[in-house]
Amino acid sequence: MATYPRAVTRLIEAFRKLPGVGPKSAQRYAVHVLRASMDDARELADAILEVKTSIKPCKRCGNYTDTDLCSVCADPRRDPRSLCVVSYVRDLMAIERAGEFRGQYHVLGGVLSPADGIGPEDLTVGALIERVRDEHVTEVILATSPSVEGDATALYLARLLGAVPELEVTRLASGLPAGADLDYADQTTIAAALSGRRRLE
Amino acid sequence: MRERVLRTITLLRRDLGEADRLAVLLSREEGKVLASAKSSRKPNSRLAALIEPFVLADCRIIEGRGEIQRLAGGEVVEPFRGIRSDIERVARASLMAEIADQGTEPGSAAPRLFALLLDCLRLLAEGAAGPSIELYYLLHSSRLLGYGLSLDHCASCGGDLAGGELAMVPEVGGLACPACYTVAAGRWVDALSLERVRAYRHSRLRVALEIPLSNGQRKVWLDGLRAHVRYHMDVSLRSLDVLRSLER
Ligand SMILES: [Zn+2]
Ligand SMILES: [Zn+2]
Repeated sequence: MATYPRAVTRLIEAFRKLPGVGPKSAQRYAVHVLRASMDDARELADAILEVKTSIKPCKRCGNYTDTDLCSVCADPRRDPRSLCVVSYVRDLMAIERAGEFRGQYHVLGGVLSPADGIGPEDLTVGALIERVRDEHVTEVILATSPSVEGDATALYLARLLGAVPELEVTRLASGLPAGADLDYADQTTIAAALSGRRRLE
Repeated sequence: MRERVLRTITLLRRDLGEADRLAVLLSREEGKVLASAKSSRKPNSRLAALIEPFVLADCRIIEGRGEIQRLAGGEVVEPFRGIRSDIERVARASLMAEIADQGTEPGSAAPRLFALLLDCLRLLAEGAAGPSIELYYLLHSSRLLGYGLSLDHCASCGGDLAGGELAMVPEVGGLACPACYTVAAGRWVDALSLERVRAYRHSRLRVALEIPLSNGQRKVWLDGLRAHVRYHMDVSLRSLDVLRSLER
């Protein structure tokens, strides 16, 4: 039985590690690269290396950046007293696309998910509490997804933040259906969820 | 292809491909059911709510070619929202679901495990004492899954367990009498709490929760049972690690 040369198999295996890519898609991508021009292939390889060498988490919020502070944190027009807490950078991007929110962000790096072994110490919970205290934040919007884990995370944080005086803690309003991923929601839905956010506790 | 409606409890769900999920469900009639839920990560999905963890639902399931079937629709019967109001409840419910998932194979009926899990989830959602619910679940699920802890006979010599200090030793299969275990390897349980935990065995959950156990006694039993379950299942239980860190 004929098989692909080693270099092709290596590329197929590399693609298979991408989320949502099965053996068939991996093979299709590898063949695509084989057929592509040298320039396109080099561009792909360079782009991969560039993100790995130049992108790091923002010191303050956890957003992706190639400098110390991300573009949101560095923007003087953004209100630092209003903090939107998201699970992942992709959720931050989804909210930015909706264009409604003018405050800053805090990226948790996930949700509390005991089934996956993820507890509070695996997220940037400590840094969030510190920021809220040190940066005189007056409003925290909890924008975790409306799932079991997202709700549990929001309520856990709300309880912790309840100890901070004169802080308003709100949660994205429903309209986002149960169990949906935030980054799949369209801009109108996110905008509506933001403007209809409600107080917790 | 065969289609039927099953009453299910969602044990867990995982992302699958671009926008799908794989759900692990528990049913009375068919035990564990693996079902894919197409596009269930999209906001307009009608399947997403059915496969949120710990949800009780009537699911329309279509047989697939292999082990994985297809979730075609259904209705939520009871979402047990009270569980998600507290991360410790979520961790405990996750532990119970993980044990049910790891301990069962698809296709064999599991009416008693289903009923046990349902009772425990209901009371967790109502806000009843989490540690006692967990103790009850560990005691009963381990019996249903074939590695029950004997509360009557020494796991080492087979003699009657009576008064005196007893050691909980997962490696010998459970409780050991003082003659068999004089070393400090085990967790010591006293005769009074043994009587009370025996009563857990024969009581319905709501009644069992009324049985008085001091926090100290309950902790010894809970630690011992967790070690027993972990030893016999021979897998790491991820939610147990999180639960422990929350308890610290
Ligand atoms: Zn930043
Ligand atoms: Zn003995």
